[in-house]
Amino acid sequence: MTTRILLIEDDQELSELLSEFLVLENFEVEQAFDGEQGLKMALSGNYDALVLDIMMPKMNGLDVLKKLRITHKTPVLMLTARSDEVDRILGFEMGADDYLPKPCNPREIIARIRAILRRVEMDKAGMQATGSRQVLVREDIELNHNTRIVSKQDEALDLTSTEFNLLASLLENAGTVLSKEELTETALGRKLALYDRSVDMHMSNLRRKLGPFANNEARIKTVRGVGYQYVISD
Amino acid sequence: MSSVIKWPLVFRSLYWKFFFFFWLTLITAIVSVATLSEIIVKKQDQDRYHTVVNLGIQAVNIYELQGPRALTAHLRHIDQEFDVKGFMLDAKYRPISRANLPINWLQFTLPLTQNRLSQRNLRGFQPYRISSSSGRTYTFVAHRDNSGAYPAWFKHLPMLQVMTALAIVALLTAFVTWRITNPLRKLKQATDSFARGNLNTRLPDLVGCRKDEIGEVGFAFNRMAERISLLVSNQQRLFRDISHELRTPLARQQIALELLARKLPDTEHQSIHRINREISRMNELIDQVLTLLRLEQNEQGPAIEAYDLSQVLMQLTQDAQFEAQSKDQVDLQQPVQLTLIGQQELVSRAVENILRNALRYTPADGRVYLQVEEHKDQVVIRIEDEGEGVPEDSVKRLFEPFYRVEASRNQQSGGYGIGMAIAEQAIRAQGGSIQASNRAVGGLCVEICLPKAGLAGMAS
Repeated sequence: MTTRILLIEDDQELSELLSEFLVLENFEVEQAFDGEQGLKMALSGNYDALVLDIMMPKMNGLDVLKKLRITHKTPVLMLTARSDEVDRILGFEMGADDYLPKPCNPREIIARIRAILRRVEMDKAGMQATGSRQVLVREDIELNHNTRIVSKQDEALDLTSTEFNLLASLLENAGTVLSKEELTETALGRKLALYDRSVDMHMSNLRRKLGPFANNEARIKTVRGVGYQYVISD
Repeated sequence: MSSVIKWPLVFRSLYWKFFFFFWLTLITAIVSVATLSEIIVKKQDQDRYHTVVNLGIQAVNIYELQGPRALTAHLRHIDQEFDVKGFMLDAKYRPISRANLPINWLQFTLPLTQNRLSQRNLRGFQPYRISSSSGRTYTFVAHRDNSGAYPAWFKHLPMLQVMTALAIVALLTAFVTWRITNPLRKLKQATDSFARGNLNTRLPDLVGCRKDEIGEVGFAFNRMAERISLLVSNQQRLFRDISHELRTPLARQQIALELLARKLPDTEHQSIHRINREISRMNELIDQVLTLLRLEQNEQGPAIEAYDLSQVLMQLTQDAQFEAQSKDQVDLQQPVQLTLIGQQELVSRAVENILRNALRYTPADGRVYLQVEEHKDQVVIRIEDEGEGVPEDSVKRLFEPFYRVEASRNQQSGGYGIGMAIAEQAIRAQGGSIQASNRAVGGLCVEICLPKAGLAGMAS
């Protein structure tokens, strides 16, 4: 069974080259050259994964993703601008499964897509196999490994698969600092790369969805240059 | 031998120059007017002398012809007509008529008889010796109204009024001077600010209310600033567009290269790898250029926050050593904890760029010293290497983008000549300063000064 990929990228020449490369890697590829068309195809077609560029005419990648996520849980690899421009998009709520700064080596794209797909498979398998796994409760947060549902004060939160994995790691190690390397490996299933801000972006989304503690203290603390920590509230 | 006048410190400011110039001019004007009027008064005195002597002779004649009664009448007539108050004494200094005779006439005539008359005894009277045609001598004594020695006018001047006049003159001078020098000072501040890179600096209030030459200077400054900032921003936009446009073909090239790599035998992979590395290098360079442009345009950068500098430097040191594959080459000395408020990412990048350079230029067995000193309201970060340093005339130009120090710091030893420029802009954005110098023992020393709470006011 081949994997079907939808490539949404406004640079046609780049898109052609990339799809040629993906085909060589035994993926089945379809292309869209702007956001609107991409969204239409993503909603209608049955794809295993999406590669989505941020900067596009008509509709940018962020909006495409937002609209797609209303109904679909298709894994998405988002291509972002590089280095500190990332800071500016950190504030947006994005539900992508992984982020890759442009320009990038196509082999890296392949590796990321494979990691995402592998994780989706693992999550599916995990849901069935780990029926005996416990439900994790800390203060007002309840994390259920069986259903992969997180609820806060008995209200279900809409977390992406990556955000769920991140939160699970943080809660299991509450009070200790987890490095970005560790988090990337456990939650994204791959190694931390150069200029890699994926964990930061997921963390920023996760924070917003969780909100602070009742006393307005931050739940997740950033330890500069080291990593993240779920604070034990006292 | 300098032809430049060595002004005392106070005179070096235009304000005090103007002030003293105006003040002295006014004082000189006052003194000259007073002197002139004094000369005129003296001239009048001489004229008066002749008048009085003539009047005296006339009076003597009347006395000799018509007797003392006529004299009394005549003296009173003179007083009214010529404003000369005088009385007449005979040869033995006895008064002939009571007309105009002061009560204390004896005090005056006594020294006259003893011939020991002095200025002091005169008490405002002037005697004139007159010989009549009959051969008898008389003395005609007239009041001296407004004659006297030169400084006399000064004695009579009311001091309070003089002081008031001087104070008013000083105030006026101060105001006039301020009107001239204040806009000049503002112009200087604006020029300084412009030179520091704030291309939005303009002179609004100076232009608004002045229509004179100084206002025109303000207008000219604004026009110049407008033009320069337009040129600079055009150039930066061009730079930015080029950099962005370069990325697209590079990205395509990268993928095309990977496609090629799959079709070529493994033996060719070394060349592929080489091309790949060059592409990455170009990407990195474009990144740096864009970063520099962003910093130069004062675009809103990373968030302003409180951070621990010590932790940042520790991490940087580890990363840099790891990258340079050198263990413990960096000698880091810093306080355990040092909280600053600012853009941690920018500071981190600045130090990183300089640290990398230092590691690059220090010999393999040499060391790099990274020292942090905490002062009252600033922090000094000093990064020193044990390399060859740079020629003295290049030290200041190290922070220019793409500036190269001749052969010793060439592409071979790495660097794109833009890291230092980024560092400078990044530190400047924190309200800090950065400078390079050669160490006495050899090698380069870069010193970064950071205000502890430089951007505290801007933090959200």
